[in-house]
Amino acid sequence: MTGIKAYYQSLNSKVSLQPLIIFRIAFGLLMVASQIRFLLKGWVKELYLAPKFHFTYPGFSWITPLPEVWMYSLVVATILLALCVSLGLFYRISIILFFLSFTYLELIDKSFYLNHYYFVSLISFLLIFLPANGKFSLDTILFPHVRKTNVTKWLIEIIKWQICLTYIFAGIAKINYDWLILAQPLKIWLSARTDTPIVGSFFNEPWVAYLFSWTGMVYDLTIAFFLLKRKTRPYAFVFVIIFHLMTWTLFNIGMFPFIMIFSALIFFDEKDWKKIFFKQTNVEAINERKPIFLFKTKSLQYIMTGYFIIQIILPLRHHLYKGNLRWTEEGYRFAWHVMVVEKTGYCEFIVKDKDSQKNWTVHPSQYLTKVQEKQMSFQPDMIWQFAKYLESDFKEKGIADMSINVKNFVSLNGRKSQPLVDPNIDLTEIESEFQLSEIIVKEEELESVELN
Amino acid sequence: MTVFQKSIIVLITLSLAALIIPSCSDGTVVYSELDYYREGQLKNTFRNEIAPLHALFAGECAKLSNVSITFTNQLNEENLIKLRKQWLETILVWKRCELYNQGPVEQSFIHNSIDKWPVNATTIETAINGEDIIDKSYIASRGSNAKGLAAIEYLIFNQEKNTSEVLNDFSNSRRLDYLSSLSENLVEVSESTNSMWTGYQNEFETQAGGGLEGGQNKLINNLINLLEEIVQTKVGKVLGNSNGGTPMPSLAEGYNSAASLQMIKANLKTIERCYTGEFSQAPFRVGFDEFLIQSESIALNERILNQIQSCYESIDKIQNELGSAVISENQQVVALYDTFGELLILLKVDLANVLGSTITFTDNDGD
Repeated sequence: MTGIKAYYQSLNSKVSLQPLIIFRIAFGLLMVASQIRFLLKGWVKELYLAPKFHFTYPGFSWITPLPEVWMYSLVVATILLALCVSLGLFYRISIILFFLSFTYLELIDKSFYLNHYYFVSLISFLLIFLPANGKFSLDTILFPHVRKTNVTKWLIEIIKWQICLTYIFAGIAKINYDWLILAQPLKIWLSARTDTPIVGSFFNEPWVAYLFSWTGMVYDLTIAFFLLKRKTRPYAFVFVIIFHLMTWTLFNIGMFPFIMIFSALIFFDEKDWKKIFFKQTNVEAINERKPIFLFKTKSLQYIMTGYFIIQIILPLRHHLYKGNLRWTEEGYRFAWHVMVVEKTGYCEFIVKDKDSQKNWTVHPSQYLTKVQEKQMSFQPDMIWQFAKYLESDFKEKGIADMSINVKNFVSLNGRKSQPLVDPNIDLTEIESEFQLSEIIVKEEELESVELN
Repeated sequence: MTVFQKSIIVLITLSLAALIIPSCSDGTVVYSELDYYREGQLKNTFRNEIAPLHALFAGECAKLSNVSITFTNQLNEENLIKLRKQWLETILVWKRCELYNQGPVEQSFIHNSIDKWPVNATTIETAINGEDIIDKSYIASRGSNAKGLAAIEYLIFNQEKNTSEVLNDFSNSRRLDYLSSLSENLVEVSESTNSMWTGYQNEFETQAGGGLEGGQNKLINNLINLLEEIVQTKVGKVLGNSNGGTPMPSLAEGYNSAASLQMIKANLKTIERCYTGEFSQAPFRVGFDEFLIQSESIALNERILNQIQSCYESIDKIQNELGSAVISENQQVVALYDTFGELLILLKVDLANVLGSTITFTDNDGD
């Protein structure tokens, strides 16, 4: 307890701004690379412009894609804004606009939800409140009054806390029967990557899947603590690099490994950096200056307290729902359930005109892109959303009163496929996303479902 | 040297190693048993199925062209029947090739030039009644729904007319020109397809990985695409699934030739052969079944094999041609739809899940 108390008391002390500066530069450059990659891969068209229908988030149905030229302009703008953040040019407005534009892009469609996009939104939100342009920035030349050499410690710690929460909840999400006892989905994924040179020849061995599963869980649960401790920090950082480069090599997870590697730089303080580059162990006395923030310190503390309460509640909210989370996916997003399922699904919708008794069979590919169809096929909220969209589409075609049922089969982590959404329920009668529990075929004891 | 500096050196070395290792897959690396099987499956599929099938198809197209020339020179019922027979031989071989649409073949959209169905009858009749010179280059410039095997079928079969009436239509020499040009064009297109596959052999056979770009992943996607085509279009649309349930006999593929069920059966045959890898008497006949057995998914393998047999049975239970059966034997056609639908689920959901395949063509990141 003494350690925790000492840590708590140290939060209001002044520390060097350097870690935050390095973090800002790295984060900005990574976002530049990430958004250029997004543009070059043609995802603006594929993800935003091609779909006729978007799976919006509850409360955000008003967020829709802009016309083509504006969508491209917006993604280009995120690149320029990220560059400004990295250079520390018009930092405050740049990071605010980056946060808003990036988050807008991510809120357009649930099909494209990725944990690391969510992480980027959170980090850019936190950066809005931090004086990350106080040093090594163009702002310090243009606006000398922003120059700073130090900062209240907790303002750097909040980034670390966010990273810690991400890792720890990702670790907790791995404490489940499939991950630890069946070594799934890693058994499936690794056997699909046996072409990996040298080590790939072992990937079909069950013990390797178990090794990866257990190591992954222990890594996620503990790495943040090792990064926090000065003595273990360098070794922990080496592990961070090895771990994430390995995931980058093996799995199709884009920028995520690099974001986590560079984010870990925030754990290195000025003392560490001087050890690396200047062979000095003694830190110069910090020259304290008056901090400049958007908010007064007290208000900011309240905002951050609220923020972290939400960040703790969100990953735990799935306990409010019945059934196996990985099957029902209720409370799955925004909760750091990273790489814990291999799910495949199939859907076809049966629309019945109650007046004429006519039936239509709708295959989602008639309306959705490949990615949307794939993601919807195993996520009940998206299945319901699509049924509601079909209802409005058929109403436009003159069908006033109809029922819509879904024939849906899903396989989870190598299990035999079975219905996820009850085929006997008329989805048009479900009015809100909060009634979804009613449509899900709950598999209370997922462990008992036969493996394929 | 401080701990930090040592760590940084280790870190850089490991990073470089991690970056270099994936890029040095030059064939000298140690492959796993699974990759050996995957490569074996791809070689087996190419050498014993894709290559001979496409060569056979090119040969059938050449025969079709010859029979078409004979018919053009001697317009009589006997030659028309021979032409129809050869067309049927050719389309049934094509229905076995249809599954394999990837690499340069897919990128060239050449499948559409071979068999795009349904044809646009108005476009064809307008061309015949027009004044442009009809030759193979004219055909090459036409849209895909006015050429290929489906267009030939339209010219030589007609459910509304008897044989002599169909023959009589060819008294218009431009109709004959259109037919012979279609056949000539088909010969060129089939040879191009065969050449594309030959050129693609090395790349196809060495895509041993199980990842997104792996050959096995692409084959699964091909299987699923063809099954979806059968379920949604070849049977589903005929049943009236997209119009409120009114059967649409004329939407059956091969409606005019009354060969719909034979075509579906040929599709199923190629699906079965691709799945099992049972192409020849060669000793190394690896298919997807081997992988399921290796991953201890023996029950799933049996379910898939049984379901394939159920699909054959559901085809055989239909007495009439699909176009008429959808009216007279509607329940059997519904059963055909359901049986193929179940096979689709087994492949798209269960098989893909067990093998970790990606049933999508985008490479958007995960997690």
